[in-house]
Amino acid sequence: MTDTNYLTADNRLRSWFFTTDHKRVAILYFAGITMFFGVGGAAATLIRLELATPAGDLVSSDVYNRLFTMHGIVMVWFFLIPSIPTTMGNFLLPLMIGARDLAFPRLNILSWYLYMIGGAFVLYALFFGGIDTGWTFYTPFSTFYSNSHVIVGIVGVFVAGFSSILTGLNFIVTVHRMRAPGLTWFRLPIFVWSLYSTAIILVLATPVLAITLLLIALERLFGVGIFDPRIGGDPLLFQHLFWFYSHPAVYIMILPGMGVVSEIIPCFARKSLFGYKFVAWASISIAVLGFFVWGHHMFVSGQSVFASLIFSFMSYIVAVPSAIKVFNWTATLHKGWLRFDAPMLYALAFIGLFTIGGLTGLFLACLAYDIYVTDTYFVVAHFHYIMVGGMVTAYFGGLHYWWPKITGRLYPEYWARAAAILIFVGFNLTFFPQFVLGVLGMPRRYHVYPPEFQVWNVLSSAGAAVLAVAYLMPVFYLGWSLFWGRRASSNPWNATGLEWQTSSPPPEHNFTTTPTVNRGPYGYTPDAKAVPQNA
Amino acid sequence: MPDAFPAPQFANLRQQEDVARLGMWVFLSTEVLFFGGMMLLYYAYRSGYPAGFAEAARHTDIFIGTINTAVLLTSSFAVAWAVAAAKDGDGRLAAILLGAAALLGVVFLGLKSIEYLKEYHEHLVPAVNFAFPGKQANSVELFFIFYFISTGLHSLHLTIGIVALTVMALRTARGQMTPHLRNGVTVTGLYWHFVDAVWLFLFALIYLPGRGGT
Amino acid sequence: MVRRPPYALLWSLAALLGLLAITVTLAYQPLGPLNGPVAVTIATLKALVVAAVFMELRPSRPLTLAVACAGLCWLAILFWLSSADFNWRADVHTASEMARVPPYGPPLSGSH
Repeated sequence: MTDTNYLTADNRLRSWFFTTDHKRVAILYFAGITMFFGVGGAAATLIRLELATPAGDLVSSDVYNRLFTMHGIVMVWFFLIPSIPTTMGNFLLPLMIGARDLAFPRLNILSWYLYMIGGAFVLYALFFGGIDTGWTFYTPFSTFYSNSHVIVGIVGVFVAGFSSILTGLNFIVTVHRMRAPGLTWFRLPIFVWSLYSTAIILVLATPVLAITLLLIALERLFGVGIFDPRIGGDPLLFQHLFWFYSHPAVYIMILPGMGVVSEIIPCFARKSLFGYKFVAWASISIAVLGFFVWGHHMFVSGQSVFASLIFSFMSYIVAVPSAIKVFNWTATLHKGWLRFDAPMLYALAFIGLFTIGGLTGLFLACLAYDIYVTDTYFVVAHFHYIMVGGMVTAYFGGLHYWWPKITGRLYPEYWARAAAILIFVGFNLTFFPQFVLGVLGMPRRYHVYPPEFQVWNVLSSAGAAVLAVAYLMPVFYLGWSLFWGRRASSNPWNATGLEWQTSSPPPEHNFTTTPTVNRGPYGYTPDAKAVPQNA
Repeated sequence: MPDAFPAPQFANLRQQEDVARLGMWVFLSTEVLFFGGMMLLYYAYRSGYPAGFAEAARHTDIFIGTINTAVLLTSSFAVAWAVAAAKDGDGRLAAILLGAAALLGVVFLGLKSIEYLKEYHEHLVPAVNFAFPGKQANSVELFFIFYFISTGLHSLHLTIGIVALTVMALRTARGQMTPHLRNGVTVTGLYWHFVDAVWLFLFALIYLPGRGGT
Repeated sequence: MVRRPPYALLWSLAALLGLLAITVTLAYQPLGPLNGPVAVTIATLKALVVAAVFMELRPSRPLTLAVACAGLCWLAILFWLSSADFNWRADVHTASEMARVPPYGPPLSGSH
C-alpha cells in the first residue's frame, strides 16, 4: 500500500506549474476560479451597496457601468463557464471512466495557462479604468463610442475562450476513446454525460465568440465598419453572432451543475437514478437544442417577427429536457432513504431554485410578455436564479461531496449544513424581490431609480449581505479542514462510482490496475448498500 | 526507443493514433465555426447588397486567385502523398514532399502579397485608403472589409501551417519513422488540407461573383 | 528514390484542377442568380474530394465522420436562423417607417 498520493508525489514548485496530472491541473484551476469568484463578488457587493438607495450616491453612472460590466465578464467567463468542468470535471472525468489521465494532458495544463493569461488581461482592464459596455459588448457602443478598455478586455476573453475550447476537445476525445473495459455509454455516470454535453457546446459555440470578438476589436482598432450602419453594416449581425455563442454558453454553465446533482441525489437517497437513459439523452438534447434559441435575447432588437416566432417556439421546446431532469430527480427522491448532509442540501436547493429560474425563463420566452419585462430586473432575477441558485449551489454541493476525495479530509458537517441553509435564505432574499422589481418596471443596468422601488432594493441588498457571509463560511471551514479535518477513507459516503474505489486522495496514476466495469453507475440496493461499478 | 511506446495515458499505439486523429478533427470543427462566422457576414451582406458585392468582386484579381487555388491544391496533393509515404516508413520522401508543400505555401503568400499591394494602389483597402466612385461605394467597402479580414485570417492559418510542415519535414528527414512521428505528420496534414478547403470556399465567394456579364 | 504517388491522389488532383477550370469558366457565363449557388456547389464538391481522399475521411470510422460533419451542421443552424431574421425583415404586417429603409428594409435588388 503506497503512502504517496497525487498531492504528495512531488513537492517542488515546478512539479505543480508544469504538471500534466489532471488532478493537479484541477487544483490549479480551483485557485484561479476561487480568486475570480472573489473579484466578481466584490463588484456585486458594490453594486448592491449602491442600489440600496434610489439616488446615485455611492458611485457615478460611469463607474456603475464599469461595475456591472466587470461583474458580468468575470462571473460569466472566469467563474461560471470554467467552474465545474475545469475543477471537478478535470479531477473526476478520468477517475469516473477508469482512465489514467485525459487524452491530452499537455493541452490540459496549456488551457490553464490560457485561462490565467486571459484573466490577467481582464484584471488589467479592471484595475486600470474598467469597461463600460456591459458583458454583452453591443455595437456600435463597444466599437465606436465607448472610451473604456474594451480591446484589453476582449483580448482577455478571447484567450480564455481558447482555454474553453481545449478543455472541451480534451473531454470529448477522452470520453469517446479512453473508457475502461466494460464501460459502455449507458453505464457512464450522468456527470460524465453532462461533461460530454458541455464539451460539445464548448467546442462548437466558442469559436463563434472568438470571431465575433475579433471583429469588434478590428472595428474598434482600425475603424473597419463591419457592423457600421453608416456604410450599410448591421449591428444586429453582431448580436446574432454574439448570442449564437452566449446562449449555448448558459448551458455550458448549467449542464455540469445538473450532472453534479445527478450524482448527489442517488447517493443521498440511496436509490438508483430514476430514468437514467432519459436523463442521459436530456443532457445531449439540451446541448443540441440550446443552439436553436439565441434570438430570444433579441426580441426587441429589430429582428424580424418571423425569426422571433421561431426562437420563441424553440425556447419552449428547450425547456422540456430540463423539466425531464427535474422530474427524474424528484422521482429518485421518492421513497428513498434520505440523508441531509451538506451535499444533499445543496442538491435539493438546486432543484427548487433551478425550477423557479427555469419557469421564469418560459415567461421570457413568451413574445408578448417579454416585451414588458425585457431589460428589467425580471430578467436579472431569472438568470441569477439559474446561475447562482442553480449553478453556484451545485458547485458548492459538488465541492462538498468530492472534498474528501480531492483533499483526503472531511469537512465539519454542522458548519457546512449551516452555511448551506444560510446561502439558501440569503439567496432568496436577494433575488426574489428582483422579480417584483422587474414586473414593477425597474430597468436593469440603472443605479438611479424612483423611490417607490427602494423597499425591494433594500430587501435585495440585505439578502446580498447574508449571502456574502454565507459564501465566506466555506472558505473558513474548508480551509480549516485541510489542516485539522479528519482524514477521509476512500469511500466516506458509501457511494458507487469508480472514483470512490481508489484512495482519498487518489494516487498519481489514479488506479493501481485499470478497473473492469460490470454494471451501471447507481447500484444502490433496497437495503441501502452500494454496489460499485467494478464489483 | 521511447517513441515506440505509447504515452502513459494510452493502452496501446493504436489508441494513441486514434486519439490524435480524433483530436485534430474536433479542432478542425472549431475552425469551421470560426471561419463560418465570417461566412455569415458575407451571406448577410451579399443577400442585402447583391449589386454592390458583384461590383466589388469584379475588382479582385481572378488571375492571381486562380493560380493561388491551383498552388494550394497541389500543395495538398503533396502533403497527402507525404502522409502515405510516412505510413510506408519512408521518412526521406515524406520530408521532401512536406518541404515542397511548405514552399508552395510560401508561393501562395508571395502572390497574395502582390495582390494586396495591387489593391492598395487601387484604393481598395478599408480604413487605410479606401476610395470608390459611384453609388455602390458602401457595399463595395463592406465586401473589401470581408475580403481583407478573411484572407488575412486565412493567411495567418496558412503561415502556421507552413511552420508546422517545415518542422515536420525536418523531423522526418532523418528517415526514422516512429509511430509518434507518423501521427504528427497525419495531424499536420489534416490541418493543412483544412486550410486548403477554407480557401476553396473563399475563392468561390471572393473572385467569382459578378463576372457573369449581367 | 522517387516513387510513384498513389493513384487515388493523382486522380483527385486531376479532378480538383478540372473542377477549378470549370468553376472559373462557369463564372463568366450569364447564369443570372444561379452564378452564386453554382460557384458554391463546385467549391463544396472540391472540398468533399479534399476531405474524402486527402483527409482520408472515406475509409474512416463513423465517429470521425460525425465530428467532421458537426461543424458544418452547426454552421447551418447559424445560417438558417440568422437568415430567418435578415431575409425576412420587411414583414408585411409590422412594417414601420424604419423597416422600409436599408439596412433594416427589404434587400436591395438590381441597381439602387
